[in-house]
Formats: sequence, C-alpha cells, structure tokens
Amino acid sequence: MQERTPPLNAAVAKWTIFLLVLTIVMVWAMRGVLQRAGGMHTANDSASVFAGTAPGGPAKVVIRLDQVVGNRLRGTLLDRENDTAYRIGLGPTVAAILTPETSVVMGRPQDIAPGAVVQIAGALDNGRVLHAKQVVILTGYVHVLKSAVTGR
Amino acid sequence: MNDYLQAAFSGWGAVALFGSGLAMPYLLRKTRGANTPYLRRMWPHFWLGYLAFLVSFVHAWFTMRSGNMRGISVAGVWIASIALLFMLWQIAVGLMLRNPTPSNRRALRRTHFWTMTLVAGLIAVHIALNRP
Repeated sequence: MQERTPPLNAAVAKWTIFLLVLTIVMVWAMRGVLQRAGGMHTANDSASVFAGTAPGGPAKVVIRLDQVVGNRLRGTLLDRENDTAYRIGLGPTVAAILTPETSVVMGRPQDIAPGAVVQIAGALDNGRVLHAKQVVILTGYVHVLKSAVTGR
Repeated sequence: MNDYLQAAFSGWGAVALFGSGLAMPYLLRKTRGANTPYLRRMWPHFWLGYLAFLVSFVHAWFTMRSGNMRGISVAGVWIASIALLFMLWQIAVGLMLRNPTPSNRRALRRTHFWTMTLVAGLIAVHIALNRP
C-alpha cells in the first residue's frame, strides 16, 4: 500500500513555519541576552571621578557593601583593575538608598547584604547620597584585591 | 566572552537544538517523493538529539565552573540537572528505537514521546527560574 503524502506545498509550509518560529525564538532570546550583557558593563568610575560628580548628576559606582540597614546602604568604593578584578579604593565610603523603583540585576534583593560586591547606578542628591535606579549583583563575578596601601 | 555570555549562548543553543530535534519527526514523517525509509530519513533528529545533550552538558559546565551560586535559584539548577539525566535516558531509548524490529517498539515510542514532553517542561521551568 502506498504511503499517503501531503502535497509538496504543505511540506514547504511546515518547514517554513518551523524555521520562522526558530528564528523568532532565537532572535528574542539573543536580544534579551545582549540587553542584559549590556547592562552588566561595570563602572570605570574611580574615587576621584565619583568625588567630582555634581549633586543631581548621574553616577555609577562599584562598591563592597559594609552596612545594610533597611533600604540604606553604605560601602567602600572599589577601583577597577580589569573586567573581573577590583581593588579596594582609598576614597570615601559611598552611601546609597534603595527606592521602590530600584531594579536588581543578576541576583535578588536578598543578595544586597554586607560583604556583597554591587554596582549601583543612580543619581546623587545634595547630601551625596546615591539614589539607586539599578543595582547589579557582582558577587562571585568579580573578585576584590586588597589595597596595596591599606592592606584591607 | 564573560561567564554570563558563555552560559547564556550555550543554554539557548541547547534550547534551539532540543526544539529542532523535537520538531524533526513531525517535519520528516511524510515527504512527497521520499523513497528512503522513515528511520533513515530521521538522521537529523538523531544528531540534533546528541548535540542537544552535548551542548546542555557544556552549558552546565560553564555555569558550574564559576562556582558562583549567589542569586541563582537552587531549585532551577536541580531541575536542569534532572533534565540532563532524562536527556541521557532519552538518547538510550532513542538508540533502542533505531532498531525497527523490537516487539516493544510501541511502548518505547510512547516512552520516548513522554520523556520529550517531560524534558521540555523541565527546560521551561529551568529557564523561568534561572534567567538573570
């Protein structure tokens, strides 16, 4: 008995739909991956750059959290050595505040704890407190080198 | 390329291979003018299955070698590990199905289908839980 086969057009349509769906899913996935990767570009701001940022201006810092009290954070500014290594800076400590609009990337809000390494992007107020728009959890992705001067 | 990109690209690559492998039996089942037997026409399905497992293993390797589990859903990682084991089981069942004569072929096909459904579900839950 001969096998019943659909017309050629049906086979072409099946393959076209398959390739179309595969392309759409992959484009959607890659777009998401690249967007997230773009958001993970770590800050190059050194202590001097941060110190020179005017109140109201945007700032992006990488800090090691020393204190977390509610939505108020305090941490030590880190200087970038390379993509994965940061050195404890000699600059002032950074105070930041989490707002309801703060988004947490690469982790969960519970990861914002003393000892964590985070990148905070936001705006400085008149009291030089950084109002966080985005917190990127870098713990585990970067390592902190001890300062050659202080040995901390 | 950083750890995130390696894990993300390998993970989505594995999803693409698994999805393509899953679609092959439906796409290759009946094709006009195909004179070769069905099982011989299924070679893309076999190789996509093996590749999906291999790339999934590489994805797991990239993720685990960093040793950083902060911010990662542990349940999602366990689900992914179980999915990987089921993929290995799926390959074993698939290899048995390459023999066209076994008496329990119907049962094997049913097992192969439901394992595929289970793995697809586990992958979907893993993606939902472990996307950064």
